[in-house]
Amino acid sequence: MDFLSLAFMQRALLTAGLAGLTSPAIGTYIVQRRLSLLGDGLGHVAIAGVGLALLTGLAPLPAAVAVCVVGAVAIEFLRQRGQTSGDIGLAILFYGGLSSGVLMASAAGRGAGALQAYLFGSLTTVSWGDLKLVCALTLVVLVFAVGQSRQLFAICADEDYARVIGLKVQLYNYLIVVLAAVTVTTAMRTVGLLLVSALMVVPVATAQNLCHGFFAGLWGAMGIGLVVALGGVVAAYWADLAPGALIVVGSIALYVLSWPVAALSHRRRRRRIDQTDPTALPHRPTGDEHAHVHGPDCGHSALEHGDHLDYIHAGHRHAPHQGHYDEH
Amino acid sequence: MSVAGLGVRLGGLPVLRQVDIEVPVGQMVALLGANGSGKTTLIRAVLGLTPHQSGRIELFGRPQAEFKGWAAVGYVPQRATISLHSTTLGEVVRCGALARRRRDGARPAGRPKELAAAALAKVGLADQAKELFLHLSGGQQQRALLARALAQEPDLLVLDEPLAGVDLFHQEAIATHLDQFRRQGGSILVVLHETEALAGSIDRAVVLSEGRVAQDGPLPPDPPSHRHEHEPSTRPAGLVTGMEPRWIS
Repeated sequence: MDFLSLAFMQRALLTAGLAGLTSPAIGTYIVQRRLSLLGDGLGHVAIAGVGLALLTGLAPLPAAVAVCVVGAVAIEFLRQRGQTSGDIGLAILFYGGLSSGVLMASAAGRGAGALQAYLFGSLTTVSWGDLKLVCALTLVVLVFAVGQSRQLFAICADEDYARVIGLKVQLYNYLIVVLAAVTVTTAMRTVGLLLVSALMVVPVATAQNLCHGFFAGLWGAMGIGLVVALGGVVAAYWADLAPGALIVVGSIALYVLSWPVAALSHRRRRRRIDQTDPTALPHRPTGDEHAHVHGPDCGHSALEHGDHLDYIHAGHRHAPHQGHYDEH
Repeated sequence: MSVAGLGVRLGGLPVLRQVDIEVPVGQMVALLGANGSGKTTLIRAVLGLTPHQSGRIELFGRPQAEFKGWAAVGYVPQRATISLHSTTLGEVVRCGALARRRRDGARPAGRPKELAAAALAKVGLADQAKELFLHLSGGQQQRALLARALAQEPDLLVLDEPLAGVDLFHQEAIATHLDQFRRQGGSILVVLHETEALAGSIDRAVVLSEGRVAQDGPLPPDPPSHRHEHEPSTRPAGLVTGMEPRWIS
C-alpha cells in the first residue's frame, strides 16, 4: 500500500472516488428519465469550455463548469419546449460544443493534443486547487441527489402527479441537468469527458440488475461507482495503464457479470398469485397416481398462492392438501 | 372545489365550453359522459395540468392560481404511466406521503412509511409492497395509484376512472373506503363509466357531452354507459354513447 503515501495518488484516489460516487447518483435519475446519453452530450459541450480556457488563459475547470451549465440549461429548455426541433437543437448544441472547443484550442496554438487530457482523463495531473473545487461541487451534487431523492423519484416516476402534489417539477428538471453538467465537468479529470457518461450510466444499469427497488438501486449504483473508480485507479497504478479507460472497462465488466446474478436471483424470488376471491376454490384432487412429493428441493418451482404454496408440475399448479395434492 | 364558465381549447379545438361544476365538502360527484366528452380534460384543468382559457377554478375557496394546499388534493390518473423498471409498489405509494411534509403542519404528521402502509392496506395490497410495480396487473396498478393518493391523507380526491380493470371484490372494498372518506368530510370528484359500485355514495352526477354539461343532478337511473337504456330526449342527437363521431377519440 506504499502508493497511498504518494501525493499524486492521494489526489487521484480522492477525485476518482468522488466521481465514482456522484456520477451514478445523478446518473440514476438521468437513466430513469431515459436521457442516458445526456452525459455524453454535456461532455461535448464541456469541451467548448476547455477550449475557451486554453484560448483565454482561464482556469480550465471553472470555465468548463460554467460553459457546461449554460449548455445544460439550453438542453433542458429545448427538451421542455418541443420534440422535433429540440432533437435537432440538441445535435447542433453537442457538435457545436465539440467543434468550437477544438477550434478555440487550435486558435490558441495548442492543437487537439492539448485537449487529450480532458477528453480521456488525466488523473495524475490533478492539482490541489482543482481538487478543492471538485470536492465543493461534488458535495453540492451529492447533497441534492441524496437529500432530495424522494422528490426526484416522485418526479421521475410520474411527473403529472408530482406537479399536482405541489412539487416544483420544472425547477427540479433544470436542477437535474445542471447538476449533471457539474458532475460531467468534475469527472473530466478522472475518466475524461468522452467516457464520463459511462460512469453515469453503467453502474446504474448494473445496480438495476442486482438491486430490488429504486432506492436500493441508487445506493447500489453509488457503491459500485465508488468501487470501480478506486479499483480502476489502483489497478492502473500497478499495471501502468490509463486509469479513466480502466475504470470504464471495469464497470462494463461488472455489468456483464451482473447478468447471471440477476437471472439467478430472479429465479430464486418466489412468484405469487393473489387469491382475489375469498371463496375457496372447488376441491379438485390430482389423481392418486401422483406419487411425487413436492418440497423445497424437489425441483418444481413454487409460487405463493394466498396462504399456501402451489408447485408447478407439468403445467399444473399442485397445492398440498391433507396428504394429497389439489389442482389449483 | 368549484368551476364556473370553464373553457379549454386543445390544439385550437374547444374541448370544454362554459362548464360549471361544484363539489361541496363531504360530497361525491360523479363525472359521466361518452369517450371524448372532456371528462379527463376537465380534471386536468382543475388540477392545473392543462391550461384553461376562460372561466374560474376555485379549490377550497381560493382561486387556482393562488392555491397553495396541493398536498390536500389526491389525484389518481386514468392509468399508470410509471415505467421505471426496478421500482417497488411501496416506493410508488410513498410518493403520496411526500405531499404531507409540505403541508403547513395543521395536522399531526404521521411517518411516511406508516402512511404508505395504511394506504396499501385500504386497497388490499398490504403484503405486496415489495413487488415490482411493473409486475402488477392493470387492476392492481390502479389500486396502487389510489393508495398513493390516500397516503396523502387528502381532503379532496380527484379520481379518473379509479375502478377500471379492478375486480368486483376490490371494487367493493374501495367503494367502502371512499364512502367512509366522504362521511369524514372528504370531497370526491370521480370520472366513471360504470356507476354501479359507487352508486350508494354518489351525491350528484354531472354528465358531460361534447365539452358541455348536459345534465347535473342526482345519479340518473340509466347511466349513459349502458347503451341499451337510452332516453334519447336527454341528450342531443348524434351524441349517443358508442355513436359519437369518429374524430372523437
